[in-house]
Amino acid sequence: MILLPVVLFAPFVGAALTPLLARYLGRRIGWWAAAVALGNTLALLTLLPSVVHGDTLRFTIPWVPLLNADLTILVDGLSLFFALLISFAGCLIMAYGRFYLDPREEHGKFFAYMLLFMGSMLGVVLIGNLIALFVFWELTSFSSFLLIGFWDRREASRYGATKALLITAGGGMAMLIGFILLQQVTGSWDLETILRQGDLIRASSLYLPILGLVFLGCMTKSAQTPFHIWLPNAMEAPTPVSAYLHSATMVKAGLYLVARLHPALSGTEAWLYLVGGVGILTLCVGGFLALGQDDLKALLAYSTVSQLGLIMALYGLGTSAGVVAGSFHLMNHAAFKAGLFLCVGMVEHETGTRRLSQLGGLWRAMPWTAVFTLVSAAAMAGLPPFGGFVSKELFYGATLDVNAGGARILFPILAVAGSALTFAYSLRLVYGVFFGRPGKPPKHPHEAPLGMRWSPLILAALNPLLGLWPNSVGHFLLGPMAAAILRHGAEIHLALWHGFGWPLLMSAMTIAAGLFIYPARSRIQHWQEEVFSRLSLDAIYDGSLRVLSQSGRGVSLSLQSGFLRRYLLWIFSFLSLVVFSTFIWDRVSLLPAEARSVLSYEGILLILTLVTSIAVVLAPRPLPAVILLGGVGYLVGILFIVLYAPDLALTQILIETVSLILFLLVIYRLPPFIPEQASRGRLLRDGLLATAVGGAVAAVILATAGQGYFPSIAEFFLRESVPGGGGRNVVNVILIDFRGYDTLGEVTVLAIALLGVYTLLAKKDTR
Amino acid sequence: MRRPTTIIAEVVTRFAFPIIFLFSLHLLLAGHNNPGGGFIAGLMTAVALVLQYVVFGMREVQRVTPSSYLGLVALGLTLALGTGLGSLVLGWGFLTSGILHLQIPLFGEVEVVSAFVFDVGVYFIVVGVTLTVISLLGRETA
Amino acid sequence: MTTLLAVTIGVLFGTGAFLVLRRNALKVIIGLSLISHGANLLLVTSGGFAGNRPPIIGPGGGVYVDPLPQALVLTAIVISFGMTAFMVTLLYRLYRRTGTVDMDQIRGLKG
Repeated sequence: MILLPVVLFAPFVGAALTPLLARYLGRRIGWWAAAVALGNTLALLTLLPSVVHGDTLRFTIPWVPLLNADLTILVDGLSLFFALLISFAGCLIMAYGRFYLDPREEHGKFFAYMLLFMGSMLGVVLIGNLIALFVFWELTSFSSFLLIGFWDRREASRYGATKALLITAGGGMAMLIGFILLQQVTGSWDLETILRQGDLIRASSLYLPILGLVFLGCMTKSAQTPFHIWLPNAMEAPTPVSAYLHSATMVKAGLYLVARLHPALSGTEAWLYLVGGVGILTLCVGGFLALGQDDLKALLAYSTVSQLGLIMALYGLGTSAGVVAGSFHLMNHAAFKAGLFLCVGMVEHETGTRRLSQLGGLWRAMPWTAVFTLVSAAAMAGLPPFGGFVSKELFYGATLDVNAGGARILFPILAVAGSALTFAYSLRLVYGVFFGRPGKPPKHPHEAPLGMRWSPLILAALNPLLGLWPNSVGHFLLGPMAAAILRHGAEIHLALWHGFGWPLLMSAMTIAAGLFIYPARSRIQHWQEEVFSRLSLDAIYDGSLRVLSQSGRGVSLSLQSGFLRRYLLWIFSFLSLVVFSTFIWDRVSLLPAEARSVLSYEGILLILTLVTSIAVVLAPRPLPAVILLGGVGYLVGILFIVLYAPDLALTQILIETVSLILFLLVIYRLPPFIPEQASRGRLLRDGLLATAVGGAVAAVILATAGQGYFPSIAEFFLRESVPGGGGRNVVNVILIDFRGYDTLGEVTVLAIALLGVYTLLAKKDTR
Repeated sequence: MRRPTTIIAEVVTRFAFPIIFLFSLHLLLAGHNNPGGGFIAGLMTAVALVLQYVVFGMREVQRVTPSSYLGLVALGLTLALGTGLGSLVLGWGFLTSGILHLQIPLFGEVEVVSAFVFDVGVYFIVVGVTLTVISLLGRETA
Repeated sequence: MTTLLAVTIGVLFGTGAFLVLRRNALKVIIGLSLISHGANLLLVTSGGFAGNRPPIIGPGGGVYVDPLPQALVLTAIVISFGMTAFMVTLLYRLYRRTGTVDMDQIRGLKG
């Protein structure tokens, strides 16, 4: 299936070409990006028949064979649905974005980032290898950072971008650890292999850490309480970005992973309470916060948090009904929430504000926008005949099936409460913007341009389609998706009318409760502002970030003072401390393993070296210091002869000659040593430290000499030198043959050092 | 700038230079089987030229060597990299060494190792680097 | 032998360490040279004292010493020459330009 890598890499290629094409296409570059996305959608649709048939398509590219990591592209019902969602929503939103962006803005940059994101996101859902999945996962965080911070001159954009990146990437780190543990348990990075070993994983003692860590990554990405705080700040992004990343796709990556790992991790109480509990809590918290917002995008952001919580809760139930309901709601949510974002974008575009307090009665000026919003909001509130109603009924049905202790009562109650809040804020959104008393927006409102209206129209139209003909979706998308999550075929019968029963009663209760909460919206808003000005999760985030950066700065300033001496003091002290403490701790013997008696000339040589190097320190003027240093060098050269290293001896003596001449050339131009200005205490300290360093090195040599801790590879070189390298001088053969690569690097370093010298001296200094 | 040197030094240097230079070539050629090799031979050549420089001044050195030492470094790097790429082109890995046994009249069997070209590259780099540094510093501080 | 060698290498490191802690930049360079001498000796002896003939294959008995550290040290010597050359040049230029070789004073200078 060569089509699979094409689909995966097309957005990346498209992104790379975008800045180039933008020169010729100018503002029309948005069409190019939308065309890439459309091409992807069509290509993916051709795969649909075989996936509906129940096939799993694979394409394997060898990647890092040593790590046993192949780049497997995996298409089953789950990944195909997500890939279609990403491509199709991308197409609609990029076509919309072409009109949304101001003509003066950098269209090329924007659409390049969008395509980059689209590719990363496709990578997350299509890749069947944990390491690669992690890489794409982080790539989505990264491209999301670029997109949120697109208006990088705004303080709030930069803040939002950083916050999103820190929280999602932090969760990503936890997830990576979870993946590594998964590999430890199953012995594979391959997703399909892992999914087959669900029983093994659940029985493993590492099950809870794996679940916790991986789910932490999902929570941060999908903005689950308490990590939801980045999503409202991410609304500083241009609205198409919010619609695409922060409602339709990226925030669903966490849901994707939960669904993907469902066969491997679900089915335990821990799963129910962790995933389900966090989800249902997020549903209520998000809904409550959404009701108190004045900013329309903030309202939608919290509403997204809440809806993602709902889907998370459904997956958390671990039942077949939960998976079907969650997946169906995921589709509905993508349709109505992306549509709502685009509508809010049009309102903002035409009125210049998105504050509820400045808006009202817009239905006359913007009738089309009003209709699209009404339909999408009704779907969100769960009213018939839209898809949202069907999925809400399924949701209630699934919560009633829960069969575990307290959750049995708690889940349905919280489900109704969360949905009532959803109903209330949906009402607030529609009524506050389009009906009631006309507001005072900065711009005179009129309908958005035709080109901008197409995408919201298509998205809004999906809602009644999903509600009235749910079973065609069930056949083509939902069935294969649920089958991929559950690993067995799921029974799917969706209908708008389920007959009388508990779900319908709960729906009625939802609407009643919603209507009851709605009038209290102003009081709730006021109360939230009051409380959050004093205590909020954002304050904790900001505070800990401040503490981190301040302590980081403190550490940097104390360690990185810019004085070489200070750095060396740290390094030397640490070195001596580590060596000596190890020696004392482990009681290492300092008696050398083999006692070889000193020959007289060796002894004289060593003592001469020792004395000369001390004399270097005591030399009163530069000239004797340099000459004594040369003396040490020659002595070392002679020592190499004693140590059976003729090549080294030759090199050392020649180099010492050249170095000495080098020093002598400049020494007359340098000032004499001024008498040591350092205080007695500092001299003493340096002396002690120097002694400690010398002692540590000597101790290490004594402890290791002749111990043979590692098998030497000398044998290989000595054996292979003549047959393999064609030379009897093994040192030379190693240099130019066995380790020729290293030598090439080293002579390059030498040449670079020369370039440094050359640039310093090429022009005679005029001063 | 020409510094006054003793006549003895001048005479000795005149005789010593060709000897040292030849010896350095010997070191380069024999380096694969005996102590020596590109690094050492390069340094020996450089030392011979530096001796000339110390005794006679820069002009003498420039009389016997190519005008651009930086060019020597470039030549050396090209040779070293070229051997690597050569073996790559021939289908072996980068820097794989080949051994060729040749029967040459008078010399008998001669072993040619492709790594020798690499060593010659190293030789040129070392000579070039050393001489550039010394001559630049010498010019600057003169 | 080992003990004396260890002490010598230790002294090379110690004197080098003392010099790099000075304020005079020339002393720092000299100190670094001493440390690299010490490090080279350390590497060559790290193969132990197992052998008693240089690693040049030929007839006759005896045990070859480990050639690998020698190859490493050979390049290390050449590289440290490159480093010394660069630092000496840098020092010279700094002195010509700033009139000082005092590390603390040089750090305070800008432009």
